[in-house]
Amino acid sequence: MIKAIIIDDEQLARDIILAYLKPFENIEVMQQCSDGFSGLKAIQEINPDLIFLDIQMPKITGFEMLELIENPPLVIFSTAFDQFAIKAFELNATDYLLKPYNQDRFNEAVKKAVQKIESDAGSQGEIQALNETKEALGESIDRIVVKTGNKIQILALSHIDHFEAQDDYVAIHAQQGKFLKQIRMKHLEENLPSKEFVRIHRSHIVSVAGIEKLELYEKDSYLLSLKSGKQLPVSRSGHSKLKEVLKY
Amino acid sequence: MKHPFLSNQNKGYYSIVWLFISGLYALVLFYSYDYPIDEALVDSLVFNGLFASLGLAFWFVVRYNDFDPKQIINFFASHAAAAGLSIAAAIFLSLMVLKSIFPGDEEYQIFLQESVAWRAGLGLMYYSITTLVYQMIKYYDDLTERAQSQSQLETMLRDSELEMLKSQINPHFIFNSLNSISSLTITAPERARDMVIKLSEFLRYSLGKENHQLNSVQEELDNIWLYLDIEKVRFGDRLNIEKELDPNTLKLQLPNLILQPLLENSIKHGIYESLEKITVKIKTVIENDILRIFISNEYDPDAVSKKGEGIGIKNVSHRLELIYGVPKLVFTSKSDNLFTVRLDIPQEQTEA
Repeated sequence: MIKAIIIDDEQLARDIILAYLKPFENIEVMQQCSDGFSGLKAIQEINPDLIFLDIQMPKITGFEMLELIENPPLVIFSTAFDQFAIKAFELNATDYLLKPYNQDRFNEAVKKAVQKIESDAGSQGEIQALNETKEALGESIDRIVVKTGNKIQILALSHIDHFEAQDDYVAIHAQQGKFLKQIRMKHLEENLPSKEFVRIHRSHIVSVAGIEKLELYEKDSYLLSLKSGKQLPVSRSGHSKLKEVLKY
Repeated sequence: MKHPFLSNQNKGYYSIVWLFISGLYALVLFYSYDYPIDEALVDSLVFNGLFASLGLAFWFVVRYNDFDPKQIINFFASHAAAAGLSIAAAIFLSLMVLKSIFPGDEEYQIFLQESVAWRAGLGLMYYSITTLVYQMIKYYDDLTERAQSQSQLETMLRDSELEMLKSQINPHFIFNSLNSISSLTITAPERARDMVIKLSEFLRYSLGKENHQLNSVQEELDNIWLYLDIEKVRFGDRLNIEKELDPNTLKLQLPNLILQPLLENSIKHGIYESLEKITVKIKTVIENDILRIFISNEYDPDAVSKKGEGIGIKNVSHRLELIYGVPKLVFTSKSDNLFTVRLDIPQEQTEA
């Protein structure tokens, strides 16, 4: 039996997935969720094989929800997203359903997923594909969703002070505290608003608003002090980027 | 540019002016030089008639000889050439004709010989005055033409700006609605049919309207109810609508589809970002010939909003400014969990 969860904020959109799933006797819908929070909870409790996921939902988007899951199940997106985004999906072979869709198209997507589950190719490559998809979408970052224990928090960029690379993770220093998130520094650097955040070092991205002062430390090397009291090293290329943004 | 004196009406004026000049000329010959009236008249008609005809041609000298400070020499050279040639030709021709008309009058023949100098002076004056008048006409024409194309350009700009500001129906709304319909065809076909019809009516109204057209509040609100009905099918109980409409406002005018983006905003920031039930309220009043429309929505104050805020409201504000010529007609206020937009639509306004 394949365990599935449907996450969509519209009842009718969930209904049609249920109706289309009728012929698939080996797929059981364990739960329906109307937002990312309850979806996340259900995924952790049920550990499904397959989820049907809308992207635009209240509070956190489908993408943001997936970011918070360590080993996400197979995902079939169902969305009214526009053509541009669809291309990005196609590139990464994550399946998607463009609303509205018919039973045939739905069957195709589900069969693909079932094959993957049965051959146990499973979700290993999936998360990477998803991240790549999201990066390929080239959407600028305007908020960051983090999870500590069972608590999900949405951080506005204005509340974030500094990002610090830590092995596979990035530590996010925000007003609400320090959070770890699996995300790449390069992705952050490229998609954060470039006037508000500067990568001053291989391991550090700082918020321009949080800068207190910049001092010459030794010959050719600088030290940046943040308003929070932290002091960070500035690399040579980081220094020239700072110069550009701060215009001095 | 057409010849200014060849139109029917102006031909008359031009002839009258030349007849007047010819009359004066004949009188001067008659009284001051004691010539018989017939000689004076004929002389005047031949000489001035020639200049009257040549004067029509002077237009082309002006028309195709633009004054350019960098080529001032060219400008004056061509005028000098035109003046010289035409004056010489006029004098030569008139003397020849007049000599042959009055061959017997020797005194007159001598007068003709001696008159070349002042005829040349007079011709130069004719030439100068005529070309000056032409130059003025040309300048004036250029000016009105430029003003015309300027205002034409401005209208075009305003139109295209208005077109851009007009609300574009959100494709997400359409595709999600179609998905709802698709779903309803399985579970509740009559509701699906109902929604198809509502969506069609909404689209017909929203896609088919001309830009400047003002519509009645009633018509606009009817379309808004369609929109909200459709959203209500999508979001069910999560969306609650309240209306508080002053019956006196329903016949008043407002720009078409001006409310649509504001309602879309309400839905977006209310429903799309919240898990709770959200009330959207529409209220209309009339105060001192100003139609005031309030649109408010509850929202989740904790929501960390995605970008794209305020563009809808800015566009509405700009559009109203273009139509009514009054800058501030949109007001927003924000309390704990209630966001309100107020539109002030001036009345007593005929078609903008």
